[in-house]
Amino acid sequence: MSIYVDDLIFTGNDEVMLSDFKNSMLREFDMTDLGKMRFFLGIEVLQKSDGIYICQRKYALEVLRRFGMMESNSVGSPIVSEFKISRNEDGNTVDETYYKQLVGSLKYLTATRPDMMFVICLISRYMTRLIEIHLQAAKRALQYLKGTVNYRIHYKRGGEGELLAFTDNDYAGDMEDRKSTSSYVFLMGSSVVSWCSKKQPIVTLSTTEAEFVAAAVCACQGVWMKRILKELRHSDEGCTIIMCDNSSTIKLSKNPVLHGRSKHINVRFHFLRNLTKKGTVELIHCGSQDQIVDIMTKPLKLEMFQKLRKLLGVCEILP
Amino acid sequence: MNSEIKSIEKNKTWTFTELPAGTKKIRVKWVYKTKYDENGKIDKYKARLVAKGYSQKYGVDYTEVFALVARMDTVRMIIALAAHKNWMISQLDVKSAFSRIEAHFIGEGF
Repeated sequence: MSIYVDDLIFTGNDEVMLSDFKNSMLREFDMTDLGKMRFFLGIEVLQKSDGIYICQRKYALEVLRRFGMMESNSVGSPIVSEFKISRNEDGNTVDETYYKQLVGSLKYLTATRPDMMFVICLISRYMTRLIEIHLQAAKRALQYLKGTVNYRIHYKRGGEGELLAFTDNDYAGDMEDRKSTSSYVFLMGSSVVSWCSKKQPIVTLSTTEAEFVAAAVCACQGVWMKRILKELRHSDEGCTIIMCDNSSTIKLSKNPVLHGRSKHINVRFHFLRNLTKKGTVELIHCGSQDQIVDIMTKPLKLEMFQKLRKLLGVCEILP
Repeated sequence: MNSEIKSIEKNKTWTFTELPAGTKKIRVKWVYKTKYDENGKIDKYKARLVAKGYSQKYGVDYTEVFALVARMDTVRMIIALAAHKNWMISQLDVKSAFSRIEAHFIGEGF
């Protein structure tokens, strides 16, 4: 059962227990029974025999209408590949309030759209001294949204319930302060349940260190998710496997050597190593081609973008 | 509006009390709102009685505010788990959620 102020959802395997619970809730509190979960916090939920689909179609259409993009042409990817923006560029300034409203409206969409996470995080870093290029990036995100309003995350019925994490970073991706973006994706079965794309709070000196910071963030989330799953009586005792494409990070997490280039990585280094030693998480190497989380770290080429989007479990279902 | 009053009465949210010394009254007001369902059709008309809380000051009139919210990650995890185990998810909605909060407001007419 999950409660969001006054809306609550519940699920379980025992029909009798569920209806007992419902009846006792209805008796105790003044509630309306909404039956099957369909609409929760602006998220549309479709429960079919082959799986559960979630999307924010109505919200997406509302955003498009609000910013006058209903008639625009749609594009295949939310961001041009190799696209870079920076803070101090010359160009015509744009209306800040409009831009902020646009970014704010897009942000809520990240609840069901992992494919748009990267671009939304990128444009929300810029809030002052805005020029046309920033607005163009935001507009492109809207154009992409226009073509993909029917895309949903598909949770397959009866699939595997294993948690699998992917972590990555773009080393020194920010052109100004040279901080990296760390990101992770958690798959449960074959669909994504949790994701994040966030600029790291510190400047790192090597890709290994940046990867370490990203992996530590990912491990924290993994520990938390395991705990929630345990609370939900989902027996999955094993360790969380984190896929990472940096082999020296993996070696460092297993083998406690402190050589010249890693001796300054202090707290995170030890935290991650601790978790690895206890067997809570395990870092496993994966090739750059299978690195799903790339969709959250860099602007990709169209084919790659579409391939990774499919791997996240995001697909188009017409209403 | 009538259903809100009924709900307030049913939940026994309100009692008449004396105004404690040194405190102010908070006025209340009715807010009307049309709720839409996921297809954009009019679902219900809603009336809500709100206290004009902005007239209060933190530390002076109240000290703690807390509302239970679920993280989006948790919601998605429940959905994924339900799909994995082949369960159905049901939903309930609490009528007039905020009138359950134990608030020592002293209202004045509407």
